[in-house]
Amino acid sequence: MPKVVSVTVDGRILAARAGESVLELLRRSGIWIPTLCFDPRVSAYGGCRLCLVSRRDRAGELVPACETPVVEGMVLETDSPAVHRARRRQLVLLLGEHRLDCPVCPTSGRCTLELLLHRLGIAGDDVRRWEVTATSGVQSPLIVHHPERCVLCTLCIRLCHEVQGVSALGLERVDGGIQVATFASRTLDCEYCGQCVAACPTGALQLRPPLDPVPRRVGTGLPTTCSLCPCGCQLLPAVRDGRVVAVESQLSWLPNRGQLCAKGRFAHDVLVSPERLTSPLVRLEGRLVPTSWERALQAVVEGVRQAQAQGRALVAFGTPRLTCEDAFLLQHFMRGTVGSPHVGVGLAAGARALVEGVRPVLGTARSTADFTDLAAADLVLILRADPSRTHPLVKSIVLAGMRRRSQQVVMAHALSGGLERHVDEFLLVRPLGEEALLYGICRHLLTESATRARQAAGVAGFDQWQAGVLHYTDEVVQGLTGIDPERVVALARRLKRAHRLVVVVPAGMGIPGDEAAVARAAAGLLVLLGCHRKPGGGLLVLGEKANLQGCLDVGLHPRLLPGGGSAEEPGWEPVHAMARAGAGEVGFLYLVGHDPLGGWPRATHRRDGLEGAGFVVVQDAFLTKTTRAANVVLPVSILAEREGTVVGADGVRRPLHAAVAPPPGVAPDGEIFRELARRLGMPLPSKEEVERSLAAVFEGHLRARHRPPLPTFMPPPPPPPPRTWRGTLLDVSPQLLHSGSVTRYSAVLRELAPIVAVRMAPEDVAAFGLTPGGRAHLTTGTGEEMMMVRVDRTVRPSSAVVLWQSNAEGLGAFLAVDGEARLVDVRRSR
Amino acid sequence: MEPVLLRARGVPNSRHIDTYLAAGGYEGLKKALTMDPEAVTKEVLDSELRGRGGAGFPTGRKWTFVPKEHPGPKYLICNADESEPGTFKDREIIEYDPHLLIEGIAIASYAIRANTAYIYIRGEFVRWARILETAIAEARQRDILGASVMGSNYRLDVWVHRGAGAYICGEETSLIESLEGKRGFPRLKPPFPAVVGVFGKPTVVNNVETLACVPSILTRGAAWFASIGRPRNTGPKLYCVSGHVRRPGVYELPMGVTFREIIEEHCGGIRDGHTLKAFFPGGSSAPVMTPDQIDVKADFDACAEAGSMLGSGGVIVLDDSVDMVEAAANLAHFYAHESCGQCTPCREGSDWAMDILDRILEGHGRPEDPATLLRICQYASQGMTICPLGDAFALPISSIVKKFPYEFERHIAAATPRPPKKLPVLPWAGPRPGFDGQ
Repeated sequence: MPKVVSVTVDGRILAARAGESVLELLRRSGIWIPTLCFDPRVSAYGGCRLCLVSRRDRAGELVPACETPVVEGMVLETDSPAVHRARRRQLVLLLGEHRLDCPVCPTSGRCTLELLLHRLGIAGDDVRRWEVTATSGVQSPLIVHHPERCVLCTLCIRLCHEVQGVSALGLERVDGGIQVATFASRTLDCEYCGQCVAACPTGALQLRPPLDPVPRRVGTGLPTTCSLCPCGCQLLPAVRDGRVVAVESQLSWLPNRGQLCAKGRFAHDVLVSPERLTSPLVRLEGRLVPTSWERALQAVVEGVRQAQAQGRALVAFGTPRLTCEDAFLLQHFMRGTVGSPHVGVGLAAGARALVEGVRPVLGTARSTADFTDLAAADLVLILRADPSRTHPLVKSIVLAGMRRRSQQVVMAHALSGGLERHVDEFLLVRPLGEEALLYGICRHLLTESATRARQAAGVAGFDQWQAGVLHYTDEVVQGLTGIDPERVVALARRLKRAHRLVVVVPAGMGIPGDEAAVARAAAGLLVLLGCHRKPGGGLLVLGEKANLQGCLDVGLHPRLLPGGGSAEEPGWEPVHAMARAGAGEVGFLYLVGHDPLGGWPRATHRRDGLEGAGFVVVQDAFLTKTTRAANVVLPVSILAEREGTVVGADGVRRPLHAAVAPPPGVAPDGEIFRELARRLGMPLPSKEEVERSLAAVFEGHLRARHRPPLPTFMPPPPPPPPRTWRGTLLDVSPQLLHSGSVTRYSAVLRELAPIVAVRMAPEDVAAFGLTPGGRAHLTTGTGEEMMMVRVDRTVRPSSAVVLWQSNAEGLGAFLAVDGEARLVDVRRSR
Repeated sequence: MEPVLLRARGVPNSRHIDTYLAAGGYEGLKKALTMDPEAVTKEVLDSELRGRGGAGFPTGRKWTFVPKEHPGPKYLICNADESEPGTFKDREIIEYDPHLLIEGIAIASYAIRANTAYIYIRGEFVRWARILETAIAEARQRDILGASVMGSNYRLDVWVHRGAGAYICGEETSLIESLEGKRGFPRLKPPFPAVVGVFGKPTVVNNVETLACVPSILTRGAAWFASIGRPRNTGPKLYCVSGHVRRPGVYELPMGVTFREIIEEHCGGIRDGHTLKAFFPGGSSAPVMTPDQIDVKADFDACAEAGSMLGSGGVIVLDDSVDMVEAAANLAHFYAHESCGQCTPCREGSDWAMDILDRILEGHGRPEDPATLLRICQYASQGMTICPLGDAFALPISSIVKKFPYEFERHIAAATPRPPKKLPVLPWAGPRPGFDGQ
């Protein structure tokens, strides 16, 4: 329990927590204190001097509330004439060189400085009036910077540095004064999260006009959940004339506390993208032509009936972006109405990690740690890949923990990222070596700590597991991971010392294939350490899309039923299903939000997989590559047009509130499923019935949290022989700016996204005889591609990174396949 | 008085460790190592040595603030960032007697049980940084520094860290930030560096001259040191005299000589044909003093009583040829340039004061300008800022405005009003994107 300190404020005695600042106490107690440079997400700065309060116990000395810790017996005044005078003085000083163009400033009305002027009563005569004219500062495709409106609160700089870990902005001396600037005044090259603009208390930083509508207005209505990744960020679309014109977030909204990434903040323009489908399409004489919903749905129904009549299989893949309600309806439609077990989330690596990795060991196909645990952990172990490219919020939580010095972070994977320069320890593991590393750690813990071994011995399957783990000797682990045994021992001891350990397994990026094995090994390690389910401890699997967890929860998986039970008759896994389709066994293929030709590894299917399927229905918001093979295309609503709930990677179910209506001719996914079921003569449950079923499902999960199933050790596989790697390891990596599906239709993000190029370390570029800006020829077993060469110092030698791009034809050839690291031959190309 | 701090000035090859040892160098350190660290601190406390960097805080007291039982490292930092205008004493010590400083550092480090000491030296002092590096290498070679200081079981490493030339980094908390590799922004005190200093550890920051006083306190005793000067203002002091005197330079004199003695006896008086108009007793950050205050004693308490401060002992003498408005503008330019920009009153205030003073000098002064200047200075002083730099610009400028009002009036009376500027008219660039009513 933190110690309580009593502080007298304006005659009232308040109970403060020892160690907190005066400002925190006052804000918590509802006492108004003006600030310009304070934000609870970053360290105190003490620059604006507006939070000055008077210390009666020290002869009225004025102290800044933000930087003054509470002290027992402190007597403060926040409302005295001296305090008001001091605050007014600061504003008078700040306005001396401020460009007072409030009537035409787009920030007017939501400007903190303007608000304070009125509230503190600054008269026009108090203000020094120099003629301050417009200047320009930071150059960026997104941002307009007006240094003459800046009050140098440095919130932008501190957020960029402390919360985002990007440090793109700093202070620089310009013309005798200082101003916010980029290094060497280069064009801003960052993650484009827009935090700097959102935090700016004045009009100094603004989005470029089309992004920042004039007059700017805070959105009204309910905050909704960002449905672009499983972080579950809360945001509020600002709507004007039925269109989303901006996206905002607030500090008080959890889990993101006002933070958004480039996708969340700017991708809303896909809603009005000219490329959007606005009417169903059917294939007539080999061409897709617009048609009515009536005819399109009828065509689908006939497709189903025909497949059933032919006795061929019916398969459906729903994107993990579907809401829980729609996912429930889809699995109900397939299993109930159509009567086929072949339904799932498609090729989702996170699903494999959860269903095949976590579920056998921990009993549920869910992460056991949430974001609160992640923040509370004293040690975080991140495996397989860098979450900062796919899950920006996870990066910020971890950065905040490290900044508080309450958290240590260890990363171990084969690739390059951005987070590794911040973490306490980084282990470069050979590709697919993470599993062996985990078992190597387990072996050390078992042999070094008799207590741990004794405690874990009661868990089912321990003996077999231990026997398997003991095969992972130092030599084996070194052979598979390339890491010195001493470092493994040191890491094992570090993990043993941790009281609250969270293991993070990002899935679906980098080199896929071993998510299930890594998640299973990580779950075993956590059980051994007793950290698998406890506050501040657990396993966090970061899956793809907004609702992977929810889809699994409601049974959108060939092996799972709603509520987590096993399907009696498991359906086909996606790779298997595509192979069957190629063999002509599939009569009806329903692809909801999936684009196998565009986004799946080429080796998992051949084009004939789609051609072999009797009838292909694609349900998407845009024309994708897969629609070339579709018989019917059904347009759907997306993002801020949707209602329902999604479950984030942290297992929390959050609502979506539609902010705008979908364009005419576009239907929500769930409505399409319902309509098809009705036409097939077996209607789906009503909205209320779905809600009841889902409530039961999620109540079950809640119960499982309090009375968790007992863990079971799953024996590790026998160690494979050490792999030898030759050639260049290719990382076709997701990039922060768009995930490659919906967000790639955002004009803003497309403009910001880096050009398609293969990024390699300088020494490799030289070794292959390549020239930066020239072209390279990449070849693998499944395809080849020519690409521009870029030198990137963050890329490790003997590896190459290609950021996943929408407009890069043929990248599917380089997406890695199950259990196989992607090795390419790099040659110079003329 | 025989010189203590500048005794090596004029001695051939004075920088070499052999010269220093031959003159009885490192005896103080040897003696200190036979004593308890607390006893060393007590000796310095009894000597009433006060910090020579400017604030005049009792050095021994500062050392006692370091928590004795603190687990983990503690640090000593020697502040050699000497950048106060009119101050040039520390480089003199380093130039002639670097080992005196190193001995002082070693004794102080021992007293606070620090095993690492840093000399934070101003970036422009390339020559003196090299001298120190050489001296430290010599001391290491003779086992005076290193794993076993003079054969004892006390370990001490001394490192020279060069600053990047920012005035603010002479302020101890900014210096610490800068030493940590960050931008030199001051920290709010408390916590004081003695509790949370460099790398979050207890740290004592002492000026070069302060540390150079320490060896002789050990060898000759606290009583000897305290016998120089008067109670609470003891010891030898370096006075750097610059400006319109016949013989400017660094003078080592007992604390408490009068400014008349410094200016008239030691410096040979004001240059021919001129009379004294004003002087800054302790660097440019001290409020200005007038000729009627020339009999004030040049020590901490007397200067404070006279409404100014001894500061670093940089006496800047101005004769009757000086336009005080110009002098104020000169100061304002310096402080506006050197303000770190973190907190509002200093950043905006110094800039505003500079603009007003420039305006007066350009012949466009307004009658209300002196009052505005005083108001700005008031805004930035009285502890309204994070560090003392606010006071450093506000006090001298406000003192000039108060003591020489007629000079401002003269300028303003002759002023012509500035022609009103036409407001810039923006070219019509068509409707803004996004403002098309959609």
